[in-house]
Amino acid sequence: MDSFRTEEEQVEAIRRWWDENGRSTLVTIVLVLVAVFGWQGWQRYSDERTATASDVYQRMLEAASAAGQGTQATTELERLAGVLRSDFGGTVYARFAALHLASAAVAEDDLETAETELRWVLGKASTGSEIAAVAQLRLARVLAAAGETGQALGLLEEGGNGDYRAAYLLARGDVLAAAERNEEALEAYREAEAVVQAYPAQLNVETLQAKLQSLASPAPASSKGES
Amino acid sequence: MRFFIDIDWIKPMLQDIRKSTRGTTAKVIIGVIVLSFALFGIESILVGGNSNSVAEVNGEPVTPIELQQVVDTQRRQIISMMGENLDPAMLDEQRLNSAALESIINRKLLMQAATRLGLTVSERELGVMISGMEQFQVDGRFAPDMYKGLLASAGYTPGTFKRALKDDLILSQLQAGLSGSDFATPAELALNARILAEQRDIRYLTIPLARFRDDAVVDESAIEAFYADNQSMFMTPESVELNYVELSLDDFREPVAEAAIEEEYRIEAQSYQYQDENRVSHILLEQRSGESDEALAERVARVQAELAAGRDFAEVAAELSDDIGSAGSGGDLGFTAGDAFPDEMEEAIAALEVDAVSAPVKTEAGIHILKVTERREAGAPSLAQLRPELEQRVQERQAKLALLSTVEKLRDLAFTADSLARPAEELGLEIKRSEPLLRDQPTGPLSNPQVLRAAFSEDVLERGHNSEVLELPDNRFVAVHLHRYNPAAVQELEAVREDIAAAIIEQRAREELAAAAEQAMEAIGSGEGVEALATRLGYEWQVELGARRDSRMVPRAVLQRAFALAAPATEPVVDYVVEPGGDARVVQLLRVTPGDLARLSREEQRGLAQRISEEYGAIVQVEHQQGLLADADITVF
Repeated sequence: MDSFRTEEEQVEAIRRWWDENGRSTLVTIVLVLVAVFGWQGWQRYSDERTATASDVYQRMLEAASAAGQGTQATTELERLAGVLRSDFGGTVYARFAALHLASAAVAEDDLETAETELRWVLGKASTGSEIAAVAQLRLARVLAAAGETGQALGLLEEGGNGDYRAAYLLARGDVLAAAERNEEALEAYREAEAVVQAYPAQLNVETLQAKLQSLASPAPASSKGES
Repeated sequence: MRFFIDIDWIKPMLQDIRKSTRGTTAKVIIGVIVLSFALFGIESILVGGNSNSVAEVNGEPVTPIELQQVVDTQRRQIISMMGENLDPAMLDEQRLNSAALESIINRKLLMQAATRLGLTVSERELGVMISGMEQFQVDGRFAPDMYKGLLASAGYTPGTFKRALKDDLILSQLQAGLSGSDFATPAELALNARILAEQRDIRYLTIPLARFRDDAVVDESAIEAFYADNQSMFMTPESVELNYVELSLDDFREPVAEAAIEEEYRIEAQSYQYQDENRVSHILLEQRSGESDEALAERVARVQAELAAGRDFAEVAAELSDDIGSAGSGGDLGFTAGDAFPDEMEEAIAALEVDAVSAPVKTEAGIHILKVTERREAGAPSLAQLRPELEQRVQERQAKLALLSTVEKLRDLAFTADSLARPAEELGLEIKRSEPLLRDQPTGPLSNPQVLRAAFSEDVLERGHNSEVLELPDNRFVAVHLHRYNPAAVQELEAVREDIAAAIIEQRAREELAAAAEQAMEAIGSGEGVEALATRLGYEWQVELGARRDSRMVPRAVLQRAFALAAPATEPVVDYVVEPGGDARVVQLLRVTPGDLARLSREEQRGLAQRISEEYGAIVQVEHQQGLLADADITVF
């Protein structure tokens, strides 16, 4: 870059530059600052909201663990879950709360409410997420309990190839067995057991095994074997 | 923290920017740089390579310290769980390491999933949680000293403990939300009740194996034939006999010089645990925005004047201190052992008499006026008291040094020599001879997986080299050399004659037992009652009405067989099963009654609902973890 001959020229050059670019430079700086502080402010705000939601959820879990003992705790659970659902709808805690509400509704034989809650979760959770997969599985089970076997099987078919294969297969077996389609149920249970066995973690699947044994084509009465 | 700015790439970029200050591109670049600094800090654009991690989970490093902590915890758990039955193989470092790494990876994956979902736990909640933990309470109140002490003894600082607790809570939220919210629908309850609460009426009789063992006679030709047909049953396993030299810490213990003990004492006496602890109160004056230095000094002077006039420190703190946190409790800050506060404060505290008030002390927070309210003198024990401990410590340290340098020499010697004779001679070691060792030798001084692996390795077994110097637990080192290899061989007939006779008797008894069970089945099938048959042949028999799958009254094998049988159409069904112990049970299934939800008690219904929802929940949890693992990018270094 050329060196300036006099100080005046230097000042003049700076002034010229400022006249040409001053406005846009200022605007850029202001915009950047607004963006930064706005973003940070929003971040802080939403962190604080999530933290509050987390506190409420923690209280809700306490109520849930006491819910076995009386209706008062159930009411408290439903109240807190309701707060999460309505006031913190954008957070993951609202989705968890809805799953708990569905569970509480099923326990009270209120399948309609359970369905509504699960559909709400499905609408909120991004497809393919763990929460969506779990909600879809449970929705299928609730629909089956309400007599919508076809719809239930459809949902299970659709989501059954993801990460939750064993759970979906177990549900499929339960739906089919309840509809007395024993052959198909047996096949689903068998597959479910095979999937579970392949996992490194030890899983206790007593009811699955009992159902398998009960549906398995029984040994002919004359067979002799050693255990 | 250190930053490494790579000037070579920054410089041309800055020159470009200078050349085109007028261009909009430059402004955009500057904007982006400013923005990224403001949002993510300077670290964001500086690549900080972390080369000493043991693994990476989706880019997140696992540090050696982290791994070691988990290994230590698991080792402690195993030791306290197994007590004296401890199998040293369970403490094998490699095994522990891989188990620990696996659990760290799983936890990191779950934490990453939780973070992705936006789960968090607030500082409030953590505070409430910690102060509510009974372990940290004295007389029902949270005791900060107790808290710090317990944490320290478990290897935590308050910071790392909070972090770990926070992670635990987040993971439990994740688990509660995903699998704890599971349920059992009415349809599932009915279905499972039908199967799990199914009842079967059965009779069964027991034919003891022992009955057929007694009267069996074995002739010589049968024994020889059995011996010829089953050679593989009578092999003695291969073994090796080793020469070995051994170094252990105890060989290197020497008397310790007095000067070394005194030096050790001098260091020990200065250590943290013997420092005095002071309980401190303060009055803090912060410079408020717009407040001049003079005004602040005036406030300081006012506090000093109030105190000089004899007013209670706590009262003045409540009235004038800017530290809202402590003003309410008379300015109390709790105990410090010299490391809780900034150095300026600690120096002033150390110089203060108990109940005396300090001159103003300036720190980053503002100006403090301090008072020591309590002093716990915790002077170091005397040299005489600590001597045994220190002497042992120094001795062990010196012995270890000597041991390790000898181990180094042994390494070189053992590597270059073709037997142990020269290394043993040069180092003055005795060559010992082992008993015959199996590949999985369970006892003896060399029953260590590493040693056995080396003993059966190509190098030692086939080439006849010295093994490497192997490190065993408890500061032992050995090097081994093959003395003799005993291949697997068939035992002489004489040595196994009796075993064979017993095996033949057992085999025949089982055949006869099966025949007897068949006959019993036939007799029952053609109409003879179980009771009549049992009485006729002298067997024991039982009846069980309404047996369930989980019934404890009926032997396991009988129950399993009874529930595997097809439901009887008209006539009862008969089958038999041989117990693991050898006795046969002939089972007659009379009737099957499907379970009925409505006939279960409230209690049983609740239990059933819980079993179903827990089973679904557990599967969901495992499959969640499994799915995270499948999608993860994991590198183990």
